[in-house]
Amino acid sequence: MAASPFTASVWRSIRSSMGRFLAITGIVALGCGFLAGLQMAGRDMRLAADRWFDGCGLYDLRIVSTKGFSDDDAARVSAVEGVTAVMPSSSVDVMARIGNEQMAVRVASLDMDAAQAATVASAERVDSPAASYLNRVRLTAGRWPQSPDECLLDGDAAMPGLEVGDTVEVLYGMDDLDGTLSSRTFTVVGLMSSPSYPYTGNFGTTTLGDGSVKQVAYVPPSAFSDDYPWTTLYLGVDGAAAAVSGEASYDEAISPTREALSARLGELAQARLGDLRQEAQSKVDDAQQKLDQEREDATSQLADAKSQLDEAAQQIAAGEERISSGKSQLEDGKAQLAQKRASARARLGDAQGQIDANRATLDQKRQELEASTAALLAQTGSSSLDGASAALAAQKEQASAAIDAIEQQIAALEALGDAADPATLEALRGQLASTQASLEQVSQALAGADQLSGAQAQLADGQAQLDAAQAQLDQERASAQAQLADAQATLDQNASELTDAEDQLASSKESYEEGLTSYQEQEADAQSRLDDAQAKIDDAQAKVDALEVPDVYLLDRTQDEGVETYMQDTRRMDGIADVFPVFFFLVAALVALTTMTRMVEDDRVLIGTLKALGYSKGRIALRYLAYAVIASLGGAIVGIAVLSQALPAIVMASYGVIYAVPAMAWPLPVDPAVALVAGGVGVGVTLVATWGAVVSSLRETPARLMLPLAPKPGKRILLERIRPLWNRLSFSWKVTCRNMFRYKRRLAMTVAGVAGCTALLLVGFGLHDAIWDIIDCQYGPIVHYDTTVGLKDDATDEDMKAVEGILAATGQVTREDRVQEVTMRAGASDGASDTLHANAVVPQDASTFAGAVALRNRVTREEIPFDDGSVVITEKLATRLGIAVGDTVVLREVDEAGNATGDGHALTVSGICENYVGNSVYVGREAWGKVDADEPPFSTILVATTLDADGRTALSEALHEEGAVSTVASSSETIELYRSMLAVVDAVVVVLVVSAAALAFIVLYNLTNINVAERVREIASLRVLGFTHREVHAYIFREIGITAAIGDAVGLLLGTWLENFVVTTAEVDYVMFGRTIHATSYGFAFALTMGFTLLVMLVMRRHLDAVDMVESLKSID
Amino acid sequence: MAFVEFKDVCKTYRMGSIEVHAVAGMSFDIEEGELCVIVGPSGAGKTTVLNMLGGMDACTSGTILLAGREVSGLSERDLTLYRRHDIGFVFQFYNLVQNLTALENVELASQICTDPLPAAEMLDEVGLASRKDMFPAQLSGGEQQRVAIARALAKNPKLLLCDEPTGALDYVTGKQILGLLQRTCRERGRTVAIVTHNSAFTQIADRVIRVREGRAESVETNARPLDAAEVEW
Repeated sequence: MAASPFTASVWRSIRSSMGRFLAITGIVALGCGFLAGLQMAGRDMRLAADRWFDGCGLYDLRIVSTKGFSDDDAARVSAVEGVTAVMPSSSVDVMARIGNEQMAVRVASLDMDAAQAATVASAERVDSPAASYLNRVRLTAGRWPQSPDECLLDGDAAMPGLEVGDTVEVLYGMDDLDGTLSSRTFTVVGLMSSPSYPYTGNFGTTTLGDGSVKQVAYVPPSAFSDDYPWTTLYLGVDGAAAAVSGEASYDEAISPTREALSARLGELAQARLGDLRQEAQSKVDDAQQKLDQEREDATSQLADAKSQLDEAAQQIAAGEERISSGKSQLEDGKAQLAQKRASARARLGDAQGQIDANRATLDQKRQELEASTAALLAQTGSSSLDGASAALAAQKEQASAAIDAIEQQIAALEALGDAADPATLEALRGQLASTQASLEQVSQALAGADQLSGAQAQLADGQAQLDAAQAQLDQERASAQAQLADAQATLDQNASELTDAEDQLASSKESYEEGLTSYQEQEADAQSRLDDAQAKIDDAQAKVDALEVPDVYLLDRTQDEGVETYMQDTRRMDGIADVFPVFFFLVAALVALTTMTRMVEDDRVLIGTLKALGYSKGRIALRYLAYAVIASLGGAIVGIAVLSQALPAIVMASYGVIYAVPAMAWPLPVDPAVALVAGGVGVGVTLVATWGAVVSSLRETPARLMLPLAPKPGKRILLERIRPLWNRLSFSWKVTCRNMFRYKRRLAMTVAGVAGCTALLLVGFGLHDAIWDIIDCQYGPIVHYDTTVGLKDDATDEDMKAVEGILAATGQVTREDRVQEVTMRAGASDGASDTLHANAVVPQDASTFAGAVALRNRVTREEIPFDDGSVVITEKLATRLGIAVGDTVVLREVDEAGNATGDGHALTVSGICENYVGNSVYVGREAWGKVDADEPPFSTILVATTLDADGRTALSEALHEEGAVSTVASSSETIELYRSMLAVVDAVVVVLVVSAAALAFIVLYNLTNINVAERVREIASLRVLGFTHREVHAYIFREIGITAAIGDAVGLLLGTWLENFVVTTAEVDYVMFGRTIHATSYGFAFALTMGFTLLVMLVMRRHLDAVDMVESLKSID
Repeated sequence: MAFVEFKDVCKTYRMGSIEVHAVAGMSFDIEEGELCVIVGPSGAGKTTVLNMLGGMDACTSGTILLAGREVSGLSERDLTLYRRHDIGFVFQFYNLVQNLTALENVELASQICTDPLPAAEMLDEVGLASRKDMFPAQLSGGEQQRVAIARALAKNPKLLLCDEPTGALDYVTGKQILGLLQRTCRERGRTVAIVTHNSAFTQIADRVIRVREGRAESVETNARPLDAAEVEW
């Protein structure tokens, strides 16, 4: 471009062929721009994240321990070379209710003082005066928490309707939260954006809920219990900020520190163990001491109580003794009294008896006396005794006189002796005897009368005596009675006193008994309490003794779920960027080659002339190379400038839906290396193509160049051999067929270009299909349930019944399946370290499980048999782990951090089933026995309902009321989540379709243009021959149409392959995209390309119609 | 009334602000069955005449009649039909479709006509029966031109227009082609108009129209035209 005429000719040639120039510029712009833009998209994403991470001091390394850390540990770590900052933090995963939603929430401590001291420079930059403040959060709403029951939530989280003023109600954790959190309800006082959680759909893995942390609550450290240790040490590494996170240089930057730390992890673990042991031991010792003191206290207290009780017992005994002696005294008294009374009574009775006897005797005597007196009186006929006596005395005398008379007679008679008459004697004798007897009688009577008188006197005497005795006795009796009454009264008093004393004793006995019982109880109580305490202490001691070296893990950002998901997405972009632009480039190169070839051919005469004029080959070539450079460089610059901004911006904006990474400010950084490579390739390819076109012309002699280029000879084509068909074709068809094979390069180019466009379109539509198939194929065809109810592991049968009752109450539950769901990590049997998060599902009833989840082969649609011994894994898992039917899958338990633990359990895979969302392993009960010998509680219910959204909400609320329910998840929520996530890729689809359309248009326009230009003469001839416009259009466009259709068809094949590649590249680990492109997508891709072709034809028709027939008369130049 | 009538035909091209009168009031007649040679130096306007006569261009003013039908003033569409049915055109550079065999090239033309002549016969007539399945690239220039003539004749046109038919041919071949055209005229009674700058051709013409600076300088009839084989240049 030294000489000015030369430069002028270049410029002029550009101006005179603006369409061609623009075609090259445009295609190079598209090619380079697409390559640069896509290549930079991933890198820009990493850069955006890195700026944010660096600006907010995201940790480079973190250390977690199964036993937590102390400040001492933090100090130990900060001493390691390369560690610039250490920020300890506590966190715990809990199930919490925010609004009406239950979800797994990570409660993490945040140094609010440091946070408040920091200043927000921009969305991606928070500056802190304290170097140790890492993972700096930016307050986006509200204020900083000030009290232990206030928190910040992540405003980036995918939680619509989250507001300041909401509450976070902690429901339960994995373990008892008493020793962990001091508050159970937190008020949301602010929202923030945290670089620790770039991925808004999932904040990490947990064993709670559905296995993913949905929200993070930053609380002041005071919200954690005092003795809750730091759970994580976040570290800043020297020099890491200078490298871009996610790229190799970053890894190199942190590598030395990581290794240094890694080497000291064992030491750290030992130190931690020592600290813990010491701390725990001192606690145990304190507790033991306290317990001993307590025991002593209790013992002395008990002893006091005991002695008091014993005293009381003694007193009671004494009282009892007293009472018994009192009682015996009383009895004695009573006996004495009785005795006295008896003796008194006896005595008095005796006396009375005597008196009475005397009186009786007296009375008898009196009666006898009176009878005698009466008899006497009667005998005597006197009225008184004295008269009687006198009478009697008289009689006596008579009688005595009579006797003497008689006796004299008798003595007279007797003196007669024998001669006396005996009978008279006898009679006299008899008379005497009777008189004597009478005398006797009278004397007796008289004596009696005397006696009677004496007796009467005596009787009177006796009566008097008796009356006196009676009087005396009465007196005696009265006094005795008085005495006895006195004694009785004294006794009675004593008795009542005794009763009182007895009552008293009884009550004191009772209270003693009570005291004793309570003492015994207390003693037992104290004993058991002390024993318990001792047992606890012993336990604690045992634990202290059994304290093991804690597992300490050193993790970098690649082991951070959010960061790594983001990085993987960027690398996925890189993957796409490595493939897509290649197509653009191939097409661009073809277009450039054809265009430049055409240009050189057009200029044959000029080249010949220049050559003839003596221009060197190089000089002539330079003209075209200059043209190519101007066109392609311009295109490259424009394309790279525009698309290196636009494409990453679109991609980042799309990913912005699920990532919290702040958008980068315009202009986006342009990676010079990528730009140079893209531009270089673009310009290079065009130059090579140009050189290729020029060099063949330059080889020819000027003379030959001056001659018209012999038209390419016509050739018979294979199709002609099929005579019947060929003969039936019209000439324009014959020409079309022959032409297509005549200009093979053009055919190839058109086919390639069109195929590229169709492929891109198909990839776009196919991606759309693949994405929406995830939901459309997963929910309905495969997953038949729409609600998952998770019960706590300790839920009882009653709880289960209650839940089933709630479900039944809706009346719209069509089926329920009980399963056990366990979050695990699945790996292949070869022990490769790569394991994937997988959900192990153990159905209670294997035979009906197919009703809840269709287990089928994706390709053959055949149902996979499932019984208690089956192990069926999902397709994505099988593909990722390289597992086929008959291989073994190794399931490993996960710890709290989501890392695999244990040696794992190998199961033989009996089937691989179609599945799109998540990775699952369906295990029969029998097979599950290998993993866990215990019968699982089947604590998850998969429920199919016919409920609408309101019904589901109501059901969810009703279920949440039930204490045993831990989670209620509705598929519609999952579907919503996926929809929002997948809409991202839909935006990329739009980019693809637009790019494909642009590419299609440029390619087709350019090719048709060349085609028409090359055939102007032919067209003019046809016009002269009388072909109508329509016939000419048909003649020319048929060829283009058929070529485009072939390209279109090839594009569908190519697109199918490319779509498959993109889909497998773009897939995330836990999602399988749909594997089939819908017929409609093929239809759309095909029709759109044909549509573009038609559009180009419409535009080109004007050019065709404008072809001057006079061209046919011109010589071929 | 003559078969072809050119009356006061003008053709003015506007090139920017300059008007170029390519044909400025040209008048001539050609009778049916005549072999007419339109001769003149470069730039005399003979190609413009050919264009207008062939229905490829419209005249600015004047009247052009072919077999009593006015060609001037026909619409674009009617012009196409005119070319299609009434005109047979032979180009200097043959303008064969490279992708069609000789026979097919002939058929290409005949297929758009309502009353075509059999293509194979036409080729036979131009002496190319044996080469009918050859592609143009396999034929010599003369042969190609003969195919072109056969193509033009196959349409059974009222007027055969030839634009420097021997221009790209060597002397001998040119003479053969000329003879073919003459034969076509004589034996078939076809009206043939040959546009050329070679005045030697005038010897074989029934009628010679000399063109100069946009006008018909002279129109002569040749009572005894020479046989093409006798012409020399």
